[in-house]
Amino acid sequence: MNKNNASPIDPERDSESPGLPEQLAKVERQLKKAQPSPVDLDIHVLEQAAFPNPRRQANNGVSRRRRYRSAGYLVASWVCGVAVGALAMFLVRGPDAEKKISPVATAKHEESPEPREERAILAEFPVANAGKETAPSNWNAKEAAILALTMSKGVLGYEQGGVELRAGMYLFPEAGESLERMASIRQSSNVDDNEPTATESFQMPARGLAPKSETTREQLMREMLGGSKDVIL
Amino acid sequence: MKQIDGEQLQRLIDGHGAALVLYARQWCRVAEDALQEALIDLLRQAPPPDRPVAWLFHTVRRRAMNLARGERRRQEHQRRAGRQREAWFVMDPDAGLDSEELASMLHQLPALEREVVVARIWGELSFEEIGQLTSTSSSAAHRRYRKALALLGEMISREEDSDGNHEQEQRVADRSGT
Repeated sequence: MNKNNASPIDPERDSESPGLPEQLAKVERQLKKAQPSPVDLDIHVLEQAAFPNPRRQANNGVSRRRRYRSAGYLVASWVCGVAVGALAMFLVRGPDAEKKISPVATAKHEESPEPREERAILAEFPVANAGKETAPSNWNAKEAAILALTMSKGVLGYEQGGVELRAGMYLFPEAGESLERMASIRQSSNVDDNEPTATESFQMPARGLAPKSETTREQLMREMLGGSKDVIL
Repeated sequence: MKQIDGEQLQRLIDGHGAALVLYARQWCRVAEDALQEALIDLLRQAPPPDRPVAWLFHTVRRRAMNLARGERRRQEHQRRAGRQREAWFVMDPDAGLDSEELASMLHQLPALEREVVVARIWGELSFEEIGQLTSTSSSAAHRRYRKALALLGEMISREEDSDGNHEQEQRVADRSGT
């Protein structure tokens, strides 16, 4: 058969199968002369069918990349913030941090809870020699009585029992033991009245916290204000 | 190269599209649909197959079988498609065989022999590739090919003889008529 009739696309189209008898080779050549019906397919249609909406796919890829990148930035910034914060904390509160505590902070810890002002007033009060000295001349009887009552009911009563004064404590010692007891306490104690310290400790029985008499504060005030200045002191 | 581009696909269609459609006609009547689906699959392949022609024959075969199953389910559609049957071969007066006669001869072949002939003659596949395609050995594919050619040779001889007898009868009739 004439091999020049073969398709120009592929020169091997007319290649004969090896080992065929002449009769079969003739049939083969005869069949190869027949051309199958051509196909008419649109490449663009095929590509669109293979990859529907490629622009959208590309956009999805781009947006996904952007999302990953922004998430990466976020994580990186968070890690950097943690690292910087940890470094700052190490520098501020490192092993030498105890040495860097200010003197003010140390002094706050050493403050005594005891009422220093009242102690100062007590020191000024002329009871060091009870019964021998009198109140300052510029004090009138009323002020002196109030101060004495306050001292006897409050600070001195508790000091005698050894109870430390604290904020919010209800002060209500025995009213009848006012000045004599105060004077005896001041005499028996070895504390320098001019320099009261926060470490003083007094022994006071717990019963001293409760009033023994039925006398009200108003009656006591009236009784004391009605008396003379010498009686009070 | 990640995927087959449009230019390569066009070359494949120009060179092997007709043979692939002919191959798909062994099973279904909508052979171009089978080829189209196979080409779409080829475009999606990443990386592309090493031997795209053999790969296309495999895929066209599978697609054509699937379409044939669908056709069997829709018998009405099948009848309609049968009425619109397309020609398998191009009409060529220089060719020794008529296209319809050749299609009829191929139809008379056993299915596997027909498949081997189409894959070998118009698909230009090697016997090894045909063996892989039909799940047989290359020697078995070669044997079937020889058997198919022998059957087709007999059919062609019979056709030529019948044509010769018909022409002789026609001449006799012409002479008697004159």
